[in-house]
Amino acid sequence: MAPVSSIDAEVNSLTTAAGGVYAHPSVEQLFVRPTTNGGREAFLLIDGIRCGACALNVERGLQRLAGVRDAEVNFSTHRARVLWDGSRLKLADILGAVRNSGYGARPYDPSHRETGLESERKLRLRRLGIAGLFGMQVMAISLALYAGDFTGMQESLRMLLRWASLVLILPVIAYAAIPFFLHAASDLRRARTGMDVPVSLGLLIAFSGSVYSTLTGSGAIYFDSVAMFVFFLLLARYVEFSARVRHSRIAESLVTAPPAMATRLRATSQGLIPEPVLAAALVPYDRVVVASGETVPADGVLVSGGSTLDESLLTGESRPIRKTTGDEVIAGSLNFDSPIEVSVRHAADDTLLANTLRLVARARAAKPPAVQLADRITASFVAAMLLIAVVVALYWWYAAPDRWLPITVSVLVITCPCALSLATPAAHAAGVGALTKLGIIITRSHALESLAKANRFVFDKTGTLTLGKLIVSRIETQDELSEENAIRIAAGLEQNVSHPVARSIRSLCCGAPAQAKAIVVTPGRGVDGRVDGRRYMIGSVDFVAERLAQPQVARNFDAPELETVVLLADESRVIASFVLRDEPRADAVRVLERLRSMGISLSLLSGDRAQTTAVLATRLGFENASGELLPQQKLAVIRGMQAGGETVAAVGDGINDAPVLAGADVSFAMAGGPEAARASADLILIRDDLESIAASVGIARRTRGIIAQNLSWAVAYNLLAVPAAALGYVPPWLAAVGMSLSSLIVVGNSLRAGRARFPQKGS
Amino acid sequence: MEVLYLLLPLSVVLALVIALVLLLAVRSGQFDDLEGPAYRVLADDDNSSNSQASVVKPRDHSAET
Repeated sequence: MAPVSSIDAEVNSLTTAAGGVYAHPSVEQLFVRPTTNGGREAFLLIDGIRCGACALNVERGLQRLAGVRDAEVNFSTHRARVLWDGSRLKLADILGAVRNSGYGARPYDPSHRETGLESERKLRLRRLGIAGLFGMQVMAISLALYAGDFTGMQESLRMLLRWASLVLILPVIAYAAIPFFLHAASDLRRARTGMDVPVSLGLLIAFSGSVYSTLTGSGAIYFDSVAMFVFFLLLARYVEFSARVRHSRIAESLVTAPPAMATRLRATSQGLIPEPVLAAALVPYDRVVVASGETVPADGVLVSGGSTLDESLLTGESRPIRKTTGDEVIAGSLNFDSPIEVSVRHAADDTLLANTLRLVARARAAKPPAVQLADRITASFVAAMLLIAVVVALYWWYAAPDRWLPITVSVLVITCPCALSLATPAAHAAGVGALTKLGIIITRSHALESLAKANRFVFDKTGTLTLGKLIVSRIETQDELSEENAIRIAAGLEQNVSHPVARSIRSLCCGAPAQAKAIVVTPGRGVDGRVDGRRYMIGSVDFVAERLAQPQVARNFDAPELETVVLLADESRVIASFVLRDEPRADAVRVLERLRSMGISLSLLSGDRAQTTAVLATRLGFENASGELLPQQKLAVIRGMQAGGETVAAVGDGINDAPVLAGADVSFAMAGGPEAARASADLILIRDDLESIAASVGIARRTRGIIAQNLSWAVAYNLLAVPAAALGYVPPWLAAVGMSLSSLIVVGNSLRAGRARFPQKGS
Repeated sequence: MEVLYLLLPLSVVLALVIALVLLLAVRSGQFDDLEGPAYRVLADDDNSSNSQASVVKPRDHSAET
């Protein structure tokens, strides 16, 4: 068998080549479609577009690339479509060209779900356009008819105008208004009353009554009211839909990760040959090589080599774990220092990672649907209004048979719960816009509502409140050695070591590190070498104690549980010690303080060791903290809090947080975390800024306040308008105008949520 | 006034034609990107899919740098 280290070099060249995984044919094939004349087509997500000119830059850059036939960047969606000559360019070249111009680019598969949204948007746009176009014609005619009432119009001309408006309203009723009828029908089938039931009823009564009037040539027609009503409702829904699509697009592009690759060893006559394959294509008992810095592609057993692995994404354990032959490794963990060979046991759908994702799905299914409350209120409101409309219709049927139709239509139109159904989404969209400006992307529509109600925040530790990497917090040197010199020697010894501790020590070094010779690396433990002719060693306490044959060293430098100690020694004794720890983020204290001032209780739940967790909890002032929790246990704790009547918001970053994020009422994930965590979170922090969490609570509460104002307005409006309409003081056109004005007022009010300037201290 | 009896039906037909054009425009993707065209107008070099027209431009750039 070929030695693992020689394979390593080759593997690196395969996976880190320009274009990364996209350079590989099996990956390229996932995203590129052949067109005519050897052409290729792919769709890209462009990151970093902040302005229209940026999009233009990307488009020009792509068009100038030799071999590109056509490139088009959509400025609204930040998606690009590229057509190129397959014989002259590869997908990776195109991605590289975009990256060189300073933007990010990833291919995506547009057939995935994009096309569904796009065709729905076009359908809505067509319906809105038709309603607007024909609605205007009908309004113009009704104006002519209205003027005719005063100037005296020939009866034949009046008839012609009525017939013309009947023809013109047909597309509105038969095409544009179809969604209302379909929704109403499905509501009725399920014995519910949504807002589309009175809308449809009002439309149908007004329409058929007007058709009857047109046919018989007597009575009034209300086609103008019908047209106005349909147009405004469709407009409101279109606006709400586009806001939703825009945010889901941003969110979607955030959770699109490149497909995972693995390096499989294939048995041939010349021995084992490494070949890159998609991680999804691995099967049990495949041999794979994991180079240092790569992610383990599947659960398995280490069969050759030894290394330290970071399993923090899965277990929350902040310190890398030493693994040797025979140990089990988990998919998704990161290999730090030396290449290892793994025999796959569970691949693809059967890994711990995939199982965690299933847990997420289960938790999601049990999620309390806060949104449904608004629907239920609308439903009972609508049911009451329908009842009133029937009573009104019956009364006027007996009292004044020629007036029952306009009055009933007026009542149905004027009571349309538009303030409820339009203002709530509008306020919501404005609040979501304000969050986006803060760098927070919302992925579930209920998030804002739940966030406003949240009275407990649960934080994960590693990577969320802390930086998630080891940082040198203290250096102690013996007598004559200066701190600077110690760093210089240490950095020189650790020069080519990729272990996180080594990286952290190297990052301290100011000028040039010392020139170290005869370096011998003991993976995961330490380094020996010569600097300026003297022998030095650097490594873990055990390593140095063993080399010096001084067991007391191990006792002297016994690491406190939350710290990692690295010792630098010469031939005879320890000359310096470096204390590393996972430091809390600078903004962690501030965000906790602001949340507390908003009356929110705080908890720390971590998978890391209990003592480490407790120390951090005291430092940050948590009243409630527990460590050594498995994802399921974390979820159980949260379920307990929810059972106690609390609305729980969770903040996390790792795969181990995913079930918690899905099970909490509302959840935040850090954008830097893995896809699983982002996919199960309701809100994603794009910028590495914890304080925006507190700001987002302010926005959510403000949005909730605005929605409450809108609802009070709607109630006041209905208390005034419904009796007036029922008594016959409101003709249908006035009802439609009143409904539209009322909607405008609430929409105008809702937009304030987007301009929200929330106070710095609490709310 | 009699001309109205001709004009009204005509306007109805016209409205139907406009509706047809609107539907075709939506289908052809004219409303897909409502922001881009505003910026494309401002671009100083001609947006040509064939490279002959832009031969001069890159040379200008190289002279500057």
